[in-house]
Amino acid sequence: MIGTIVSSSSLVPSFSETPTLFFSAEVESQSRSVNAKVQSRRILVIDDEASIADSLAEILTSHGFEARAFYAGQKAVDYAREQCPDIVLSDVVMPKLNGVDTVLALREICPSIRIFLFSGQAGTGNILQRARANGHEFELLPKPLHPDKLLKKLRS
Amino acid sequence: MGVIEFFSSQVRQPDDEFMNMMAGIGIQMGQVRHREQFEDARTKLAAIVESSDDAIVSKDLNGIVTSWNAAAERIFGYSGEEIIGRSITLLIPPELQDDEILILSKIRAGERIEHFQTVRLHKNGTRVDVSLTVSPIKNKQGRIIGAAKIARDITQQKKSEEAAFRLAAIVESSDDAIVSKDLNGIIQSWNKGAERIFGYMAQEIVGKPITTIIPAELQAEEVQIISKIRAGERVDHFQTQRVAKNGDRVEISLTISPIKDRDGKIIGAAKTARDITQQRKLETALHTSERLASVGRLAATVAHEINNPLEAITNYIYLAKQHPDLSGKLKRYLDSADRELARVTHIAQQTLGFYRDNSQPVPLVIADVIEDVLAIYERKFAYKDLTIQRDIESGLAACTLQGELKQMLSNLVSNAIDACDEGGKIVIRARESEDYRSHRRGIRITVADNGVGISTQDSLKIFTPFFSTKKEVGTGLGLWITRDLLNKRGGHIRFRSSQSARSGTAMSIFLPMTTSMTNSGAAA
Repeated sequence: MIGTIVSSSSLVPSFSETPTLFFSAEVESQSRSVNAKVQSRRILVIDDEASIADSLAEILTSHGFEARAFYAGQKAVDYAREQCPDIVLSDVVMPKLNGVDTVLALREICPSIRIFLFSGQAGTGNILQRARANGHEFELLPKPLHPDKLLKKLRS
Repeated sequence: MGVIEFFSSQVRQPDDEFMNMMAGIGIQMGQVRHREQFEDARTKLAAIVESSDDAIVSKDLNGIVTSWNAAAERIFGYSGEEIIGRSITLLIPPELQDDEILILSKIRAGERIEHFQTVRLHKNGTRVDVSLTVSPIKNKQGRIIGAAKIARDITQQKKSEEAAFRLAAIVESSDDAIVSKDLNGIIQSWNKGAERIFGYMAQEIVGKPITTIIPAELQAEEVQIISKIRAGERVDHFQTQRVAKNGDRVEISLTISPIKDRDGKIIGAAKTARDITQQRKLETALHTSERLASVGRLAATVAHEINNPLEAITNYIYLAKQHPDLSGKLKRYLDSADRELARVTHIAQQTLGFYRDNSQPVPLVIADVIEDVLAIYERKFAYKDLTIQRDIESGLAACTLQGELKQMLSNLVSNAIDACDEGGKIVIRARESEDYRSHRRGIRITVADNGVGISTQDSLKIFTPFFSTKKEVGTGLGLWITRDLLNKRGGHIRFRSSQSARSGTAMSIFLPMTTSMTNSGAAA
């Protein structure tokens, strides 16, 4: 569960593939307009719980994002060295590299990356407090976060 | 004939013994019929005088000492040889020399002086408190020829009296209730502390049984206490409850000791009761806060375990609903599941989310915060059929501590619900505002109800910790905490309330803001 597993879901393409993306019927028209700026919609979803990372990546993909799921922060960072994403959505409390350290490392590699953290809370306070002490302020989205709300945030 | 004076160094009950002694002297003298008898009587008298504990001194009308017994020597330090033939004024302090003139003039007039409390000098210069009884001595012809003077040393008695006064003053000034009772449990004394703690004045409770202040279910305690006291045992720091005159329960720590007379017989009990009501309340508060802290820790742990699966379920239902082949029936099922899920999500966030770390202010949409708080009380609103009216300035947002703001609003809303009758109304108003005193900008949120209102008397106490009008359910901490939180942030709380025509209460909090803003997106 800890190793990097690029989602095997057929609905979630890898960035290296030709961008023939999956679009659900209802978002197809919307996604066409999005398609033009598809380069700004590459998103990494990081959560040590595979069910969350996978389901979110699938939802985001169905809404026109190029989403890729990771179950460990380090794997996402390694991936970003190859190809910079536009957005990262990461869980906070994760074994080894936590969410804050992950997004800070990603920002080093991709300075313009937009960062969203989300958490089910336990232990989040301490991690965020340490980040604040170092001058890093992040908005925290609470889990469970309804996909509609998440999409609104991402599009804002 | 001459004059006889008596002195004693012992503190004794006033003069019974002396009177007997004098009667004895009289009888002896009356019985003098013959010379032998007279000699015999004189010997007996001399023995009585010599063996007396009181100083017995005789003097002539010029105040010259003519006889001096053993007790006089012991009390004043002079031997008979030293003082006989000298003036009695030797014993009188300089500032009291007039005493002797007065005494002699009374004696010349044939009057008796009884129990005259004064001071005399010992040979070594120390002062001796004495009680004087002086009687004229007449000769056969009835002419007054001198005075018989008995001086009782009351130095110890005076000291005892002083000690008693000092003790009484200590007892009266004590913050603790100090009460004495006899072995039948009848109250004998009641100090100011007892008046304050139990509400009864001394004059209304002395003479009444101590059980007057013992709660019905604790009456058996008194039986146990009295039996311990009878056995000569002490009761130390016994924590119990008593009932004040107004019916309030008072938590006290009791210490009870037997009172013994001079023969060591137990005649009653002295009780010291310390009011530990506040101490108990503080202990309870501490216990509650410890419990809350552990609930908080538990909530944080549980939150993670609940919120993560909820996130996954939310996502899967969302995906399922997007499926193109979805039948109408399945879609309805999923919609229902989604609604139920939203409910669980909301409850989880409200209950578990309250313990979220909020050590830094975060940008908040005030309307959202208010909605979150109202959501917690939805069932209560429905139960009491309350109308909730929202009057919230659109786009009002602030950078503040979410947990604190929610806690304050929760306290106000909860109080408003309790104040309202069935079918009542609560109005919540939120505005960007300026504090008229400090001219600082901030937000003002008012929670108004049309409930019972606050009495003038209670209005003085509503911000006092542990004051609550909700006997069963109130902690008496809500408004106190709210005011404390606001004070810390430079804000304040005000209220208007009226009990007439059910116009209710409006509680208004002002929270100063360094920056006021509309809801922004994610901060990266």
